[in-house]
Amino acid sequence: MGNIDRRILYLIALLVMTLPLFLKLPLPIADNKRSLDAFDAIEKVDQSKGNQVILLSVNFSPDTKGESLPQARAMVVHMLQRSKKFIIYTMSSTGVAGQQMVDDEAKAIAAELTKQGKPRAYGKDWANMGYKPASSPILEGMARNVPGFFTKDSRGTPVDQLPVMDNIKTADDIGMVIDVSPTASYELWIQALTSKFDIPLLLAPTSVMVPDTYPYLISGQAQGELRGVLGAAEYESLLVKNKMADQSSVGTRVMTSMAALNAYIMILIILGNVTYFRSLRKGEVTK
Amino acid sequence: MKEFFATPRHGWELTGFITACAVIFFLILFVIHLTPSSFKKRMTIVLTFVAGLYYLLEFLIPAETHIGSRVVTNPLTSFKEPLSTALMITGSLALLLGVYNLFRINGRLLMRRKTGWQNGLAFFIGFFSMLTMAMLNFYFPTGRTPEEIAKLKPLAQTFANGADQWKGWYNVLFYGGFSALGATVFSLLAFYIVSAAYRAFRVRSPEAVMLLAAAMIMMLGLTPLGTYFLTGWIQPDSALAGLKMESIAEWILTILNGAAQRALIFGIAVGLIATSLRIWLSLERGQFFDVEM
Repeated sequence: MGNIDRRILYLIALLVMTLPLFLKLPLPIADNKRSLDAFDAIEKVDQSKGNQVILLSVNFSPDTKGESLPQARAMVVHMLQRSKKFIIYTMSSTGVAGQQMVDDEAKAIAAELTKQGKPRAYGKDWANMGYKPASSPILEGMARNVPGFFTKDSRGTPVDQLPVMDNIKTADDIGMVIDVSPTASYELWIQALTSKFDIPLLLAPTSVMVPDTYPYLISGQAQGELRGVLGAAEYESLLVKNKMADQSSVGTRVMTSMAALNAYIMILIILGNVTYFRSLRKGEVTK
Repeated sequence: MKEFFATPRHGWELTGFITACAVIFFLILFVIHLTPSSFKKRMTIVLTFVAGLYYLLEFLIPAETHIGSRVVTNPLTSFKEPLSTALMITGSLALLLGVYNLFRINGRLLMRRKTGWQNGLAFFIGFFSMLTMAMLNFYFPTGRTPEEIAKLKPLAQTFANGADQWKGWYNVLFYGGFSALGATVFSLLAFYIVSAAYRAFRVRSPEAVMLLAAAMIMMLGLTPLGTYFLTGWIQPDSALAGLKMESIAEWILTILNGAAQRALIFGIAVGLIATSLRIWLSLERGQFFDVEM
């Protein structure tokens, strides 16, 4: 027990992580206030006057797609189911890959909904506005002239030919900003746009970034949060409860693996410390 | 002057404008290069101060001031956006510099057949294959009708007819290669944590005990491990609801972590102000400043 070969540890870790995915053992996901608030915030966006588009800011690269893509996907399902218009935007060059993945997911979900008799189409229900580098002054400029900032979508279609951007002129026509990012890009949104123009902000950071976001949640500068892949699983559970999805998706499946891996890590910590204290007692090591 | 630079240009006018700007830029650079070192330092100090002063004054001067019956707007605000765009463009030169550096290092590795030259070759193959497929996929996308393809020039028609191939190769390289490899490298962290959990997490002090306890509570409170198996039996509206693992985890995040994060944010902000002030007033020792002023 004293010195387990690293390769054995890694092999067990691999089995612990992958077996639940194959065995398909979904565990119940507890409700969480932050995910509930995020769900309610999207429900409350009122697009009846043809404006109040939702700005989905996607800034993740393939490195973090394991957490960020399920988060984005869950919210895209919600928005397309409720016919809430949204635009996908990225402000980082490394986020273009993530943006493309979210756009592809939106296409797949829209095709599925169209088969179910709820027609959804690119350009009318959502658009991919591509990559534009941004800083605080640039986003403040966007607030004054949204079509001047988003002149074309990622396919080169001029913004005046996109029905989703009809009646979207200034920051007053943006109903919400959702930031899906492994970095602190939400600080830029708070500084430049959401605090100044009283626009609701939802956060979807990776698990590692979650503690950093709490001051903004407590102060009310962000209205809801999806906490890593757990948040994605909680959101998927809400979608199933509200009959917007038949079954939970990848976020929920991954949670079983995560629970198993966490249990394994806790066992290793306990095992390692038991070994350490035994060695202390025998005098083999000093404190 | 803002209108002169901001007016959209097209065709030969645009080409001429860009060429003229480039020539003027290199001329200025050449003249600066000829000046003595002390003049360059003084010029850097003055330009740094003026640039910082612009942003400070733009922030401090009110957006609108009423003088009698007249409304005077802040004259500096209209330049803010074009200046930021210019800064972004200057910053993007770093991208080019990075690519040039990669070419130089890997090219030297390959040409001189040094140890690891295969990595240099792999870099060039990966770079040019991804560049080629991404450009072909972008400029010749799938979904074009035969009538739209017929309107293109003959060479473009050849490429347009192969749109399915370019998309296929792009998907293999992007989703199969780049995306999968990126996620794989990040996933290695899980194995490092497994190794650290067994070998490095030792309870050697009271602080370590607190750290470990908090970590265990968070792991239990944020996965079904704790929320379902441990305290799933507690009803959300019962008197014991506060003892549910997710409630304890949320308390730690909100109260303990929230306070610490706020302190960090304030500390970082104060440090940032101090450092920014030193850079703005050229008080920092560094490459261009041998002596603190």
